[in-house]
Amino acid sequence: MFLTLHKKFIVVLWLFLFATSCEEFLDVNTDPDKTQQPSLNALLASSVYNTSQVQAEVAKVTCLYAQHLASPNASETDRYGPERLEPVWSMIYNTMTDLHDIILFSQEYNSPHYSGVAKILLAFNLGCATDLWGDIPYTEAFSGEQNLQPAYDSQQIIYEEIIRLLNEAVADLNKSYSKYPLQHCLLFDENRKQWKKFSYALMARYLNHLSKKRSYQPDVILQYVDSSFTSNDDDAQLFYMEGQENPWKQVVDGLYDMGILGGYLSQQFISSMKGETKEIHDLDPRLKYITDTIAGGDYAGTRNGEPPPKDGFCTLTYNSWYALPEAPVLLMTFSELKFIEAEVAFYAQDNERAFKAYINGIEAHMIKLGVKDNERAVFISRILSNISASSLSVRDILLQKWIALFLNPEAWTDVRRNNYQYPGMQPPANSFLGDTYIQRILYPESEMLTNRKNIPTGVSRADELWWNVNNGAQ
Amino acid sequence: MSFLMKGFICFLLLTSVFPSFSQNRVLIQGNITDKHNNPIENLRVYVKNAAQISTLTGKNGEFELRAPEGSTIVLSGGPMISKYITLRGSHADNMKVIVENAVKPVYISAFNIKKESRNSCHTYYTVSEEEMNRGNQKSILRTLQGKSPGLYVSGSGGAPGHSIRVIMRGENSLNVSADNQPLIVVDGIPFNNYTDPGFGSSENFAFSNRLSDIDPMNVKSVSVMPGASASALYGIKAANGVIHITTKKGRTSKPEFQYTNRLSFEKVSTFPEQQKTYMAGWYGKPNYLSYDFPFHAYGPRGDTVQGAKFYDNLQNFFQKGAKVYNHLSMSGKTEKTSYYGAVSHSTHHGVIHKTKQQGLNIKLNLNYDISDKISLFSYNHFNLKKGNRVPEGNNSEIESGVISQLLYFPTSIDVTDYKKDDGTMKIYTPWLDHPLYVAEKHTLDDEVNRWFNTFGVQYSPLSWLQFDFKYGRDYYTDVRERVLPGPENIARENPLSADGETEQTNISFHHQTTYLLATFNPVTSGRFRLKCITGNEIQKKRYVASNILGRDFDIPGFYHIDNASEIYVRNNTFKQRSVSFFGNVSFSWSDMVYGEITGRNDFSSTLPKQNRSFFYPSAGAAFVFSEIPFIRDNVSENFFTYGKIKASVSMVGKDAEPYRTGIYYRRHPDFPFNNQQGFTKSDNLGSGHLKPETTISKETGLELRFLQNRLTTHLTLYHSVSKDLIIDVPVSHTSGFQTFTTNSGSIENKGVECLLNFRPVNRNTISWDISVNLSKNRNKILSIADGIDRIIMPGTSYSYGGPLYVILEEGKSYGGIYGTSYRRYHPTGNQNEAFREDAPLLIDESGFPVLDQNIKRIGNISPDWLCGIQNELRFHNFSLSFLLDIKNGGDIYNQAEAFFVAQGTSTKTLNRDRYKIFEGMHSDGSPNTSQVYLGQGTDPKTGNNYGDGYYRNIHRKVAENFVEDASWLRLRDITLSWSPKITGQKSLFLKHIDVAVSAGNILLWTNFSGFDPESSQYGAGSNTQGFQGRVTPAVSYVSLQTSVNF
Repeated sequence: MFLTLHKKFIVVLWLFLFATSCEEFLDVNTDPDKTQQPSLNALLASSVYNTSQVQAEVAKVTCLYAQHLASPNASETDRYGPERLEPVWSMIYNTMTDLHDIILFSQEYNSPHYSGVAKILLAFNLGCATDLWGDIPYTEAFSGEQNLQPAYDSQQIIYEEIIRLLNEAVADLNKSYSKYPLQHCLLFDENRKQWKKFSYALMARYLNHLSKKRSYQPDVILQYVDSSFTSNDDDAQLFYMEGQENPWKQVVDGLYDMGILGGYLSQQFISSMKGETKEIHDLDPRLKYITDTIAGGDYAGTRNGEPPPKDGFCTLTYNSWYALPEAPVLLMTFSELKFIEAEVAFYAQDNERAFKAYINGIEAHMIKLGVKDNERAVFISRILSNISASSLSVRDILLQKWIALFLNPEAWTDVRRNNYQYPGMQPPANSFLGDTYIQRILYPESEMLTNRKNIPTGVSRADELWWNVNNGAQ
Repeated sequence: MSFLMKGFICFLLLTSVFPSFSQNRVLIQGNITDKHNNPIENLRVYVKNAAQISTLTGKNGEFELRAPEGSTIVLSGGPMISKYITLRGSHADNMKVIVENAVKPVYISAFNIKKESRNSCHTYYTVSEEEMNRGNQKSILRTLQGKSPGLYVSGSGGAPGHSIRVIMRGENSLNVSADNQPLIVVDGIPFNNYTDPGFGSSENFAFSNRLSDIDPMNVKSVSVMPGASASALYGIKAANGVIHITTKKGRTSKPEFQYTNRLSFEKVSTFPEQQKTYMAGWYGKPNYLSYDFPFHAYGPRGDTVQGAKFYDNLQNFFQKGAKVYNHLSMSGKTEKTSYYGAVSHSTHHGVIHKTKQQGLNIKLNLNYDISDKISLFSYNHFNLKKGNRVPEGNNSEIESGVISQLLYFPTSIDVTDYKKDDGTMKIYTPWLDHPLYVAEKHTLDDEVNRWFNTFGVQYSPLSWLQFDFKYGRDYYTDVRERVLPGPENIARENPLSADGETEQTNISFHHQTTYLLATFNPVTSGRFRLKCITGNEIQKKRYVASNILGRDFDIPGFYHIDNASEIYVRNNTFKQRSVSFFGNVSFSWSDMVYGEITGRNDFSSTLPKQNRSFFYPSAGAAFVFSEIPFIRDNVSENFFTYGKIKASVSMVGKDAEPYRTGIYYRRHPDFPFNNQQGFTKSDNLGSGHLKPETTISKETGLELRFLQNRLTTHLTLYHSVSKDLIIDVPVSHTSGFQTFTTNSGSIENKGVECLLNFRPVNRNTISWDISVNLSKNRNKILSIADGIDRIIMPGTSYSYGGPLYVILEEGKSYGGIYGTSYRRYHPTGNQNEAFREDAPLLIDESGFPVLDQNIKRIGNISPDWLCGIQNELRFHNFSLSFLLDIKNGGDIYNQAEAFFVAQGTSTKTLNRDRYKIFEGMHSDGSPNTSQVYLGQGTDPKTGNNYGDGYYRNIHRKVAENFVEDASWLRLRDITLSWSPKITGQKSLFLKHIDVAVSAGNILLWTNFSGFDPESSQYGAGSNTQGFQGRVTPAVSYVSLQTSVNF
């Protein structure tokens, strides 16, 4: 009405042009900085890296409890204050989500070798998490919009799942065809055999955690040990490098430059390594690969829960093997496997095998740190003169294993299994829990906010985990 | 048009008055100008008691009107001093002129359409040119603060260019990252007001909100449209309200120049007190634990140590700031063209060593009438801003920040002594850096280049039809370069970092908008009038930011990426587009009843395809009841001049942020690692089912004017509910994600706004104007999400005084402060009850109060009500204006005090060698009677060991101790100006001089014990407010401004 024909035409033309281009014009809602189709290898690389980072993050706290380390300022954590490891929970579930996706994608892409590797790492992270918190979500986890409040599985279920995953992993890796074959992936490269050995090692580790349970079968574990690592070369470890340095190197950096305190060695660890224990009365040659002496040439640790001693104290330094820029973070070592073998053989009443594995475990760790052959030989001969196959005890095995697991979260698991029975060990000074030893990490705040209906209630830090309760569930 | 507020206006009724057709009517033609002979456009002129005989003045201030002889002609929105109006012409003696004292006669509605205030069905407030340029250094937002109710303006700190946050009628989003601030529109085109924190560690620095790119001196007027009322026409982004800025255009026939110079000085306004009795140290000893250096200020008493000295370290640390500002403008007008051009420059040195900001602003506005039917315009803005900033310590890396380091500093060590002879840093404890050294060496230089251009064509083929086309482009780049030095390889140096760091951030933002409008005026005369607008808007936005971080340098001192051995790259890009169609129909009947209906359909790129189109309407009506014949005839106009009641309902849709509809995998930040790439699943779970969120707001208002407009009041009630909010709901990390973007939750805001203008004194040479605005907003979070009743705001978990969060909780108002408290006595021992401030403290067997680790709501950041009282007194050529700013309620976390208690510099800790019986009850209900020692270590009387002492063990961990009521009354600013009359007329070169002395933020009454409570740990762009502390404290200033027109 208001418009002339000429103008009407223009309007119609304009509307037409608009209608055809509008849809296209608005289709810009895909984030250019991210992808919706990651490669299996890129997901795996970040999962391996995260797995290693989580180990170091966990160890910064659990090695206070295992008394490898002590807080420089008697922190609450060191004194058994409430500890939730909030960032670790997020990191570990993020990592497991990626691994879960690899498993799904590799089914889609017919690439069982990737799913095998992912299952091993998933089992590893699951084990790490359950040994911190006990019951955790797994069977309902990682499913996004379908279940935003996953239920918690009991630790017993989690352990069954770990073993199931590890068995499946071996089966997957045994398959001959994988559309995408394994590539260089930071750990073990493309070597499927190595991955299988790692899987067996983990089966041995997690089954051995159940030593207080009726289901414990030493013979089965020993079979897994036999299929597993045969030397330090098989160690599951992630090497760091100059520029992308080992997390413990960063702790030392903090100590020297940034005013962030950490890496103080516990008095318990120093006194054990100085030989102030029942079986050896000599300085352990490994100590100088771990820390430097204080003024006067001696070693001194910080008592957990107390400020560092006035006359000096040992910390991780730039000379520590563990804190070298390119040092690896150890996920699981041949040396640990030998101690597992020693313990299991001991329970299987095969004392000879136990003793041999015990000595091999110590030797493997010494070689790992680069202890000189003659020093090693002297130390081993000292042990041989003190302990024999017949006099060997589980406590002896676990003491040496505790040393070999320096800065590894697995150390605290053993310490709890061993009920904190190490020569001279006592609870930290001014402990929040009095004379009681700490047994678990509290659930994170984020779970209380977002998954309240499922989170287990009434859990205290002094409550033992399921595997530490004698014959508990079965 | 609101520069009509300016006191003096000459009204010239020129040319002739012709006899008219009807018996008593005469044709009146005239021009209206201000005292500088500048024509006044769009002024409503009407005949009293016959308001239908009305017109608006044209571009040259001209008008014509057929009025009954002898009637009264009313200038709507005229000046307050009618004395200065003169009438000329043959019928002048018969005509009476009164000036209707409408405070805001015309406002700018959507698309830069000027509307008469009478027509408005919605609430709006305006600020005039005069108020913008009053002679002080206020920013645009600050100027609005005193004049417009419903605005909550809060500064984030006193560094040059520090961002300012503004919220209108409360927050209406639950998304932690949502922009709750209003849309800024400049000459009809959206203007980005983002406060960009950049990447990671850049958050440490005081960046500006981008509205500060506009020079207030170039602003003609500002219209504020709070709530969702304006959004039916401005669309999605206006859901939080709109601030419309109109820049100056050429208006005088002769070229006019104006030069303005301003010089101002500033200093930190308020300092908290620190104790000067105890020296640095621990347990009464001068060293910390077994170390040979001190830490904390729990050392020996100064009077027991030879040569002990104490310093005013807070005062000594800050310097005086200064700012020089110069502005030159030229404007003019010919028959077909008008132009306004301005250039300004400012240099601003901040109160912290080495901080500085410089700005260059160029403005050119051109209008050209090709013919009667077609006109063109082009408004152009360019500015360059350079800043030198220091890390203040707003983020969790507290060790690195200047203010954090300062708050740690004991009073027994001189803070001004910061360098050793070899130029390296002097420190008293190896764990802390020296604040002055950090300010000097850890630097961030930034440079913003911004172009804001608008081009438009106006075509009116017929008298009742007009087309408008407008294209606007907002483009800026922001380049930031940060250098954190590493070691210089000098013996025994204390480097700021182990390896050194350099970081380059490049940000570019590009926003294009086009409008095509058709305006129909099918009925323009008679009692019933109708106007229709229909139009289309297309928006295209692109943001690209990249960041390169380099560490570990080969050549010492050469902090360049090429010299770094570790390099990290990050990118952040987004694109956002929308297409909209809208229409508006407005009508009026007999200048008494007004109505308006709008509808808008948006198509947004950020929603899933099936939900990307959404429609929302609004409707409003107004009734000018003073026009009712009965009232007009029976109530004296000298008493009751004008009365209007209005009501409106609006709905607004709002889209999502970009990229919230998918699941993504991002590069792991530590990769590439060992030459390999690593990807990990993003923390956010997007939803393919997102739909737009909606806000429905209702408002009703009453406007009354009395005593020939000497007293006007404006009362507005509003209520808005936003629902289907698009929220990143926190979810259990075990689900594989940390947040899930979904439509969930709703939030309600309701409140009252009141504006009162009064002129108690109105004489020839003396006048006094008071303007009072009052607003109260009540906010309630109605729901969040299934199974989720709390959202923790990011960046809040760190505090020195114990865990502290800003949390959104169902059933509560926005922005509660949650933290640890003292456990209260409860007969049943219940620990989960809500925080009860008045209940007696629970005292344990040792005689101390007990820390309650459960996080409880211990404060609320939102103020109860806000009030601004602006006064203006004129006496001859002098005028004095001042603004009182009152904020009632609103808690703030006093972070400085938390540091001081922890460090032992707080005056509270002075009783550390005393004894105390804490008032409270034991768990068995008996009152506490045991006396305890407040110091560290062993009590000299009893030999009991108190460890680190009460203040370290308990007091500092109780966040309750540091959350304080931050109500205030402050003299926001005061300005005395002098504008002598220039006599001698045309021969004189000068036309006008104005000299103004002003001071700002000089008086503050508050119970808050820290620095000025108006500063925020997080910038204006963050919704986490209420944390005061580790930023440059607010400043007070004095300035002298001289302005010359020639």
